[in-house]
Amino acid sequence: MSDIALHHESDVSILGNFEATRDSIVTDLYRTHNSWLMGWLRKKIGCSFDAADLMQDTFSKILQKDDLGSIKEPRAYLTTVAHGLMVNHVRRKDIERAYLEALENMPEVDVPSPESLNIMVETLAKIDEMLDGLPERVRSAFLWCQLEGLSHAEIASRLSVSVSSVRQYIAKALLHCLNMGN
Amino acid sequence: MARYSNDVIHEATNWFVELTSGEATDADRKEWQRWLNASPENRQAWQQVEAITNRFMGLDSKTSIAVLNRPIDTKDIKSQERRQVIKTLSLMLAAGTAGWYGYKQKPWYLLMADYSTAVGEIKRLTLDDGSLLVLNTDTKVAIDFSNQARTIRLLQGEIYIETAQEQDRNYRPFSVVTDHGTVTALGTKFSTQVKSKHSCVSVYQDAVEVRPCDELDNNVVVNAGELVTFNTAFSQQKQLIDRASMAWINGFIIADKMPLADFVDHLSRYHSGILRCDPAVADLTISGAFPVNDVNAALTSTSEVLAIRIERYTRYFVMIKPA
Repeated sequence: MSDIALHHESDVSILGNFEATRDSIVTDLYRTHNSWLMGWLRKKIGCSFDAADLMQDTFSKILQKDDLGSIKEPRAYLTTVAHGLMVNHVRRKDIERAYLEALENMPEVDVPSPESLNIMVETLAKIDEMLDGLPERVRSAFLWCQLEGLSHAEIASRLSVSVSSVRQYIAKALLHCLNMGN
Repeated sequence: MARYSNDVIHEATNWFVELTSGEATDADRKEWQRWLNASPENRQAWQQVEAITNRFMGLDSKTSIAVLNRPIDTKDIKSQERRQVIKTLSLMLAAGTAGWYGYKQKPWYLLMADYSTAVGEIKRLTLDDGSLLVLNTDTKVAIDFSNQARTIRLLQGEIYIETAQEQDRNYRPFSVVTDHGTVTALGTKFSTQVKSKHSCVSVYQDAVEVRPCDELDNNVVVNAGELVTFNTAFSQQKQLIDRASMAWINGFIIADKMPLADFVDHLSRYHSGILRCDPAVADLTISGAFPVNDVNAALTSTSEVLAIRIERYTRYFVMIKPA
């Protein structure tokens, strides 16, 4: 659906000397709103170091967008992009904390190198994002199915629900992931 | 982005459920192969399914489950922060100079809140689609409108909604999601409140459908004038609503021979701190309309009509006692 909307919008944007126009739009955005955005981020996240990082990320993400000509509400647009990045950032920190905590509690698991730790956190964060919004039991059922290879009957007894409920949970989780992927 | 008909996606999903059940036979797998080879569309849909399952490949199951099923403790952020400090310290000791800095921890989804109100505050908003959203005291919501659906996540507190009619073919269903389930509007005025163990829906016009998140089949339609309380598994018997219960939307509590204890309960939601009622006066009844933006004024006017006195120990601790 989103690419239909996008075509429609780029029809009305200035397609002429596209690159030049785009850079000047971003420069304008930056000049006009950067300190305001920095304030917004700092208020939300409470740490100016992270806020500065996120502001850079916000503008570099905007630089990669195709449909800049159609921005009508610059601040709403900036906060939408920044908000998405912020949620990811906080999620990553949260995952990293939980992962280190899990390692600490499971001495039998090997401690990964810093590089593979990063990859692991990234991978888990992507999955976490994909599962966002799923009810707890649906989420658990799907994870046990995918990561432990439990049968539906085993999941049903862990959750004390019927096998037909588990079938529904698994279907719901998969459809959710398919929708998130698109 | 490839697009498929919903049918193909649903068929692929059914096959996925079948093959992961632990009871699939060789005959089932042959049947699945036949389905797979029946059309390129089927094959592409299955590739989408595999793209999802591939993400789990090579992950250690124990740590991954511990991370992805990490408990999220909304009610007790303070103690979580404390625990966090201890964990961080012990990890930093264990890691030596490897330098892992603790992060000022907030559950990230509370950061997701797009709109929130403080204790005692009521906020009215018009959403992009023209729907009216009113936030009651101490409330947090995240708005998630896409091309397919209009979703409001109620993270904390209480909201009232008047959905805007979407006329055209692009009708997007409107729903409120809480920890306990999904409330889908069927063109409506309604309010939803989330508490720690259950959620509650009151419908003022048309109807909504409630679906508890763990038992998707236990859905129930709630009609205008009805109220229902639900947890993650089932809904309780429907009750009739009291029209006065929606007065908060306009900033009032309307009491009609309401026991003082209930009145104080209502009022305390708008008061930061403790507001208590002595059992000796709990059964006195009160009638009238009281503004919620000034709890002190409401208490003072109550004390003028009932045989009670208000004792203020600090700004935050207020007791209502017999006169």
